[in-house]
Amino acid sequence: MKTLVADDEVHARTRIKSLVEEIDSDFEVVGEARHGVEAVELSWDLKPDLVLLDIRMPLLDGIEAARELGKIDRPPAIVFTTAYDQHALQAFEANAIDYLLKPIRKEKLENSLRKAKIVSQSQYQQLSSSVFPKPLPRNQLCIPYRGELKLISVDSIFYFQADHKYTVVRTLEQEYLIEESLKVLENEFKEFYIRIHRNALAARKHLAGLRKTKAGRIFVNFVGISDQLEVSRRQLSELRALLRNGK
Amino acid sequence: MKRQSSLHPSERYLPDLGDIQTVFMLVLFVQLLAFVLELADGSSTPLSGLWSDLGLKSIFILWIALVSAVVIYPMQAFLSQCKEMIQGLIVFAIVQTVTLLVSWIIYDYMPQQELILFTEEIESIGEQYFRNIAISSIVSALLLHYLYIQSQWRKQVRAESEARLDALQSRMRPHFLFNSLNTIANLCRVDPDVAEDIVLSLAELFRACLKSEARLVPLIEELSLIHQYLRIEKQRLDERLRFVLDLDALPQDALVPPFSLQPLIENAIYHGLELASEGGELAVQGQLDKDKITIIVRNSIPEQQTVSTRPGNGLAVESIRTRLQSSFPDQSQLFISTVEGVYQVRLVFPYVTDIP
Repeated sequence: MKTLVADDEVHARTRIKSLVEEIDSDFEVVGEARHGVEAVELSWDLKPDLVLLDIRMPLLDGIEAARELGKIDRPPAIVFTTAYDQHALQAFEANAIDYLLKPIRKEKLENSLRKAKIVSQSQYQQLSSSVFPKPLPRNQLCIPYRGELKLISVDSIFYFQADHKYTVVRTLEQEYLIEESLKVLENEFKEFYIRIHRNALAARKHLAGLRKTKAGRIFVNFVGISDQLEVSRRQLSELRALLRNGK
Repeated sequence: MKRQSSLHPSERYLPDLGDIQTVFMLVLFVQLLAFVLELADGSSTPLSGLWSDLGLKSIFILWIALVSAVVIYPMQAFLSQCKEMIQGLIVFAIVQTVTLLVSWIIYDYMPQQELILFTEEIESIGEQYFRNIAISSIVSALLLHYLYIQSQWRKQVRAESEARLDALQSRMRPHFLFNSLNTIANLCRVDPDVAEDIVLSLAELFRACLKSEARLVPLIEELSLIHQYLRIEKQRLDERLRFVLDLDALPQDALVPPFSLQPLIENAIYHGLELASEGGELAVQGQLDKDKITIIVRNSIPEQQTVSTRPGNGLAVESIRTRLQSSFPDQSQLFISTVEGVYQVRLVFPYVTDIP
């Protein structure tokens, strides 16, 4: 089985790698990732069957990386490794995915590897999609873009707009497409975004003002970009109140 | 600071006048004052009306005390939000006003109603007013000062016991322990010599953790802790940890509360360098100006912040602030600033070599 080890510490990676190879020659460590983004990108390329994922990592932590890994066609089995992380442990203790505490005992790792062999991919897929309740709104979105995993800070997004089966994410420089629906995004980022139309959410902090056309349609402007989005009648009064009260 | 707003009742400057014990103490105080005044006044002897004189004085002072208490009572909630200085001034002003009022009732109003309390000849009413105000000012100022000192003392006692508890709790994250053990586990295979070195550093750190019952330790011990700590973290984070120490200017015999620097370094690594994919810079700099020591800890801030890596609640920093404050009351400062991607904590405290 192809195995990927993701950990920001070289000693941690070396140790896990040598343990895995000692335990079972079926397992081959095909790659090492130093942070969450690398773990996701390497998984796209190397298609590992198993990822040993540290929780506290730079750029993208293990929990968020796992969420991205779950979106791959044949998602890898995931085993979390952590030195000490009460909150993270609580987050997935209720679920059946395995986790290991560092320093890892060889026998414990052996058990996890055995499980990874038995549990079929589809079971893991089910797990990984249900595993992570979202305790807090994300600070950043992970967006696959031209073979890379882009991290887009939620602060820098002007609006989300539904476009057929995708959602457009507008930042200052770029537009990205993601698969998450407006409804899901609205739930998660209620605090920062306001629904302005059936098909759009606008960032409260980037709003500039309203403009009315001769035909009586109303558009909203943003600070820093020239895009204008139509506002529906139903959302108008809420949006007006928001602009009046200084967002 | 959070702690000050939630003062324990016994640490409030002014005692609760709704409490029967306070009222009793007030009455007792009034009686004692009346005794002292009567004894000091040599004009009466036990035979010539000392007791009735005493009675009159007690009633007079009791009026002032109780009327003042009744006026202050409904204001207590408001007063407790003011600064102690303001509280003292307000109470002082109330007591003086009440003294004037009661004096007026006794010397001017009651005689008009043909109720004469003081039968003895009063030389001049103006002088009597002056005398009453003078006595009441001196006594209430003394009493307020006494209450102030008492509340400060209680606060100090609590700050010290809290500081001790804080010190125990803030010493190194379990995270650090387990990560270090993990590093050692790997080093045992690949480089046993380095593993041994790290184990020894870890041992020293934990010895310091367990030992420091002392309220103050020499700075050199703190600096040595930092060196041990960084030695371990360097092994773990390798090129991601880049640090510069500029501490030669510091007097090694200066006294500091134990663990007043190491947690700052730990924070810098935990919240700063460790979460940047390419690591970051840490700088610790110490200066001595006359008899003030300044230590600055700077670290770069990671480019991205994920949910699980949002900044902590600053417990360690608060604990250091409390402990410095309790060791060097009003002489220590702790500033935090973030400028252009650099997080900085600056400690300022006096250069002291003897435990005061």
